[in-house]
Amino acid sequence: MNKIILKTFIAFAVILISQISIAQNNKVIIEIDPGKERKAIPVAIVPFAGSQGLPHNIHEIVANDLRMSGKFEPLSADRFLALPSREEDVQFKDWRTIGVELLAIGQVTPIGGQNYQVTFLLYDVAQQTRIGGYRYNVTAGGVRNVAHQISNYIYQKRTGREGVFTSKIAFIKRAGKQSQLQVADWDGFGAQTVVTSNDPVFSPEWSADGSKIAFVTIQKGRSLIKVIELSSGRISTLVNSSRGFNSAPSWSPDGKKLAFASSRSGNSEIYVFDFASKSTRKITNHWGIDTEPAWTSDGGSVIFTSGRSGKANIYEVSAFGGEARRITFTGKENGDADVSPDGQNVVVVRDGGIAMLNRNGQLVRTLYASGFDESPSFSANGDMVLFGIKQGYNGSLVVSSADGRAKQTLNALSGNVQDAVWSPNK
Amino acid sequence: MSRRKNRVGVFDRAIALTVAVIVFGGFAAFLWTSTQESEEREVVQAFDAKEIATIAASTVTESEIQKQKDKILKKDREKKLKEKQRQEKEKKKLDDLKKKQAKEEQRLKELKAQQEKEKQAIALRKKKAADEEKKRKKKEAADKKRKAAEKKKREAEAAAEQKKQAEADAKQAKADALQAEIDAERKKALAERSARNSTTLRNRYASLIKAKLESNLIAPIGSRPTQVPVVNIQLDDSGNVLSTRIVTSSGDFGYDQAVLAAVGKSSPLPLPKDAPEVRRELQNFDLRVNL
Repeated sequence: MNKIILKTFIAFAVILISQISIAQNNKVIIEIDPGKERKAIPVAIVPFAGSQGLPHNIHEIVANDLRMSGKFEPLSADRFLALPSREEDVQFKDWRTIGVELLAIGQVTPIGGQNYQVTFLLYDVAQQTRIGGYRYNVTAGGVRNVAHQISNYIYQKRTGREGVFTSKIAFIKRAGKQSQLQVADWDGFGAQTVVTSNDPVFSPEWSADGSKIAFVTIQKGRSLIKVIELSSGRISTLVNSSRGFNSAPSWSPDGKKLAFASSRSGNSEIYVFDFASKSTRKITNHWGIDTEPAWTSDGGSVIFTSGRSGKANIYEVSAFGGEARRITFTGKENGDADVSPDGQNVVVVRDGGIAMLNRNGQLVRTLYASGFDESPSFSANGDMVLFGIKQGYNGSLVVSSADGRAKQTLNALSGNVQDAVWSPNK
Repeated sequence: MSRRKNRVGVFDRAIALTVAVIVFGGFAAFLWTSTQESEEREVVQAFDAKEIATIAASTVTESEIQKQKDKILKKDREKKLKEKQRQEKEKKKLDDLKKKQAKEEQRLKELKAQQEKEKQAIALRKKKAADEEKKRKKKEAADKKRKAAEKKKREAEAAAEQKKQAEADAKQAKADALQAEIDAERKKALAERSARNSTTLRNRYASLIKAKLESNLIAPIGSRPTQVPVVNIQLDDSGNVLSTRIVTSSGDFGYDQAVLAAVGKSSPLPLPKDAPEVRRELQNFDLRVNL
């Protein structure tokens, strides 16, 4: 009997030990296969309490920012089961029910005069935790900026990257014979005229640090590349030449060089100006027209539009010159390229539309196709693309998420606007 | 036994002797009384003859003779009366004797009957005793035989029992050994089956967990994970997510966050309620998100 008990005990012990070792050695691993599909992150931006008196609704600005990034899907407020504005009112189940992963709440409190205190809190609904929050003291005019900062905060907390919602765009507004170089928030609000000229002004280009904007102007039959220092409004000439056109300035990512097109030698070629040495290097040499240079994200090479194949196509050449490599082979015409900040994609004007290509020139997706689209430009984080379209005789600006799902015409901008470019800073 | 038998024999003989003495005694008494009665009668006859001779010789004178005659007559009458009285007395005596004799006879007869009865009773008793003895002996013999048989049987049984016990012991030992072997086998099989069942159960719940996590994962647009992320997940007994820890990052912060969000949204994850071992295994697992 004792023997049996002993044997039983031993058997149990053996089983127990073996299972423990299973548990120790073969840790359970669960693999999931979500596939390649990518989706926007569902978020809820609750209307901020007390914002009725403000000219802009913070939650709408934030929701629009996040939506336009393409990475978020702000749910319509009419789907909310509650409208909390303070932490004690937050019930995570209300937000889990409608499937959001993030929840932003806040309130606006007048603190005298035109000043307001904006409080904002962000919650991870999925993990049922508070991520963080901010408190800002602003004037009524600063509310939009605060809203964009909130958007950046949310964006950064969820994607790990900096948002670009406080970034600016530069563009040319034409009014009769007058040209205006304007700067606005990325969503077209708060436009300010930086340069007003009766001479044509076009092709604005931000300096790498965003403190200056280069632009092309034609004065006395000469096309010059000028630059304006935004803080001071001081304008200086960057590129001038005794003959030919100078156009399409492009700042290198490190800010030390400026690529541009010039026909100073008769044919339009790509040149690189070095700020330090004040020297200019011609990096293309072809009988075809080479123009519209754009730096690659690593600053090692320049892609440009060339007609050397008979039709406009995109080529790439070392920043120090040399043999150019053709990138685009499809589409009737490809031009005015911009390289994504991650270097993975190129956005071009293709046959009057805006097309996203990979670095081998293959079409990733068409973002827009109105027939007269122009001047595509990546946001600093590559999430969005800004470009011009034609609405009747007037140009308008459109922002598309890089994936093409979210699009927004910047209706805050009135008049004939074109030649837009996104600031490199975030 | 034989001694007892002898004792009984002596007793029997004593009874027989006693009975014989009584019987012969009876007869002797009877014969003695008969002899005395006949002697008395001879004496009476001899007396009568002598009287008559005397009378005949004395008849001489008339007066005298008369007187004598009266005297003789009277004497005769007296004698006759006396005789009669005597006879009557004799007769009575005889009757008494007869009566006595009859009575004696009766008594003897009764005695005899009594004796016979007693004899019969003795015989009966004897027979009964003998029977009983016989019976007893028989019984004794039977008992002895039975006892012997029983003893033998018992001994045989004991032997058989012993043998049986020994056999049983041997058998039991063998059975025990076999049982132990079988038990070990069974335990092994059970453990294996349990492990198999556990594995099945674990796999089933792993599938449920997988399905839930997959359905809740929103891989963000623009995210570019560069390696398979691994997230360690710990659950409480009810499947509520207690903690998540990124063991290996996907290389894309947003993607990692999406995985964590999927885990959070999936809380509580399905766990077996009735299988604590399997549950425990699943309460701490690594989630791999294949790219």
